[in-house]
Amino acid sequence: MNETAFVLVGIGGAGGKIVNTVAETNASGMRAVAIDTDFTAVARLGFCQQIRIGSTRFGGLGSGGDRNGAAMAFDETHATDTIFNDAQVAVVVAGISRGTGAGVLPKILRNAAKRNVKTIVFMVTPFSFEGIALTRRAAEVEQTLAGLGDIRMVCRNEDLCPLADDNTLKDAFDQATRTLADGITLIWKMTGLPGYINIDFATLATIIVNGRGMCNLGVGIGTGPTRVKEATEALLGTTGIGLGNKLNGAQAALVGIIGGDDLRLTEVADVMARIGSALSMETPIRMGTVLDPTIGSALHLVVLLFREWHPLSEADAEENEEDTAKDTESRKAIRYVAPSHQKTSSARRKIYNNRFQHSAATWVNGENLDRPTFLRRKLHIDVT
Amino acid sequence: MSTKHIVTIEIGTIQTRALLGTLSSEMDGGIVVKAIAEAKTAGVRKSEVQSAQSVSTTVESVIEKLAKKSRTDINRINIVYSGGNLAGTSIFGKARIHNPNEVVEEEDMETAIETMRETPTISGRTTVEEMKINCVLDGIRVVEDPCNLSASELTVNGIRTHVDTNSCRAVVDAVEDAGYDADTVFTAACCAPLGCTTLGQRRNGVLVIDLGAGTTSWSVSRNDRITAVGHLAVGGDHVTNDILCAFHTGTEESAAVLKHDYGQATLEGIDPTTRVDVPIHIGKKMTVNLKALTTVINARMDETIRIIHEELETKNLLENLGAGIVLCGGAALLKNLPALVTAVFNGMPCCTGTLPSLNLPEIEDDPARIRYATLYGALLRAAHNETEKEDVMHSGFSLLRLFKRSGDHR
Repeated sequence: MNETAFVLVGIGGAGGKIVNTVAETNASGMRAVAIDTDFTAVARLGFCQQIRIGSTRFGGLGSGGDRNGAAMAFDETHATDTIFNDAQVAVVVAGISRGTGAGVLPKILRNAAKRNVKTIVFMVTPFSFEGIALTRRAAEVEQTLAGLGDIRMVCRNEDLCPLADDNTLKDAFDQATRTLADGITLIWKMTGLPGYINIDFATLATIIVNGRGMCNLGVGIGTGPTRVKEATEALLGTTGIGLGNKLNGAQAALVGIIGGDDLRLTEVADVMARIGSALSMETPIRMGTVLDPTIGSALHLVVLLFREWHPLSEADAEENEEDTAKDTESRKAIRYVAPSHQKTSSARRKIYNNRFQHSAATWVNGENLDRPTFLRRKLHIDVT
Repeated sequence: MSTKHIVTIEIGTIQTRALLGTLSSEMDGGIVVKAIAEAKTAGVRKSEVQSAQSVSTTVESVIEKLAKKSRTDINRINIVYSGGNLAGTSIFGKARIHNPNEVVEEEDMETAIETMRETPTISGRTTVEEMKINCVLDGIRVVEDPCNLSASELTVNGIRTHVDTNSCRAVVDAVEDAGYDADTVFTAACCAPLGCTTLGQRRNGVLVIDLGAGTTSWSVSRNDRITAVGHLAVGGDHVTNDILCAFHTGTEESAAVLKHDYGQATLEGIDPTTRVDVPIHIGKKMTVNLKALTTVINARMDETIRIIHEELETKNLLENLGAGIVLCGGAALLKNLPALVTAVFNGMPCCTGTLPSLNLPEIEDDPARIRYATLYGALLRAAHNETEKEDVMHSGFSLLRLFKRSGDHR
């Protein structure tokens, strides 16, 4: 396993804590980095490489909600230059309602893009009880991040930990952290551990390019003889990080099945049949299996649902290849080639990206008007 | 007899255009257009400077052409600006009338105007224009000229146009880097009405929508004064991009020609079987379905116009538009666009504006001459500013009673 190919970056208090939880349960084979302006908080993250920023600006006490200050603090710290060395895929986690996460996240994503590192971004938004001001701020930050990162997921704390009467505040935050950490761990396992139907880093990178934009994460866990039923029901349900009502309108799905040595072929087929029947017939599904002896009799499912899907055509892939100097030969072998009927949308996406990519996007009523209207309205255009 | 040359430049997303006019003391504030020059713009997207060097080169090239044509040395340039998320904010100032007769005097007007101008600006934004809308006496009586009328309080209502400071500065810097002094910055939204509407239309109330290549701006004029402005960073370039994206025409140019030659804003009268040739497609011959092409264009234009309609409706600006809607700018030439606008605005009459004769042979017979309306409007405004400097009593266009010259962009 190439340890450096997958890097996990946590920004700010929330991001750091989640990343540390992932690293704690997967101490080997993963590089985890936590960046924070609060030196006391970051010091507790013992399983991560700790990067402290803004010592002169904030004195190690946190950014106090100063997003711009945190962004500047990041620029002033050269310790962040090496984060993406040798990396192919980065999972970046940040709370986007407060200063450090909101300020540093765009910087990190630009930095990754410059180095051609594919990014999966988890943007954690606050509980509603934290106040409307924070929720609004998170929504604003989410909009400003529209053009950044390869695939982005907004994770509402309430989805990660549904409010219940018997939950203490500590329980609520801990559960939210654990749930998201589980999801990230499964993505890592899917690419990092051996399996018979493999999704390696390069394949994941290609899938990330195809599914660029917003996506949803679903996780389901089951144990014992009924583990398939339990795991798929949790995955397709509406609690936890179940996909529930997000299944409608999914353009593609990536399914990871993680089991112990006793994982049976019929179970894999059963999982795929259940997930397949919940999605539209036309939705392309890409799958991978992973064998992880440490999970015993459990079955873990992780699904990434893509809201947009723009598969690379061969021509685009050639260009992509020019941009990507490393691992050229291995990429040729595993490149995902789109079915012919999907090639047009790939070209559309590419042209649209190139034309307005250096301009600030025009957002009105939550829509990016730089995207062609007929695509947003899903109008049928006879292009024959 | 003294003669002054005035130059205005509009650095558009696709084309950069400049006009030179001559102002003579004998012409009573009138201006004679002497020359026009234009060139393809490089380094601008959505009216924002992407490459300062390319924009400077474009400016230099256009102004050199203009100087050559008019045989004039050009040093100072007025700029028409349409980017920077232009917005308009209502402002007002008050003055108590203290004189024994309680009659408003010039001094009171100045006090009210000064108070109005003291309204704080928004951080990161630069004021471009401040214009008077009306005067109100004792909070009730709206009057044109309050001087010598009795009242105990005078309120002056106005509008302030403002843009993103850094975006605007980039344009000014590009002009100065080309070796010219940037004189005054005008917003496209406030210039367009002068270039394409009559005084009667502006008095009756008119909405002018300037559909540029990179951005669309609008302004509402009533009683010959601008009362509201707005901006949307979507323009003809987006239509071209949509076509390119839908039909893979190969080059931007071929998509643009397809739009100009066959594009129309509504689907009415389109034969679903008609196919049209892609004009300059590189490689093999290609045709596209006309209905599909129109659907792509209609979707974009309908959306753009609806966004403007929604904004105006929300701000209660759709009343008292006696002269309806007037379109200008390059994208206004799209076939059937007035019909689409009328439909979106629930039957409000709409037409393409008319540019007065400029006596320039190269554009006199150009069916697309409305695209020069904003630039010409800016020339009129610059001329007015010049005459105001020489003779403060000269009223010029009442629309242009600027309280402050917009030179505070630095």
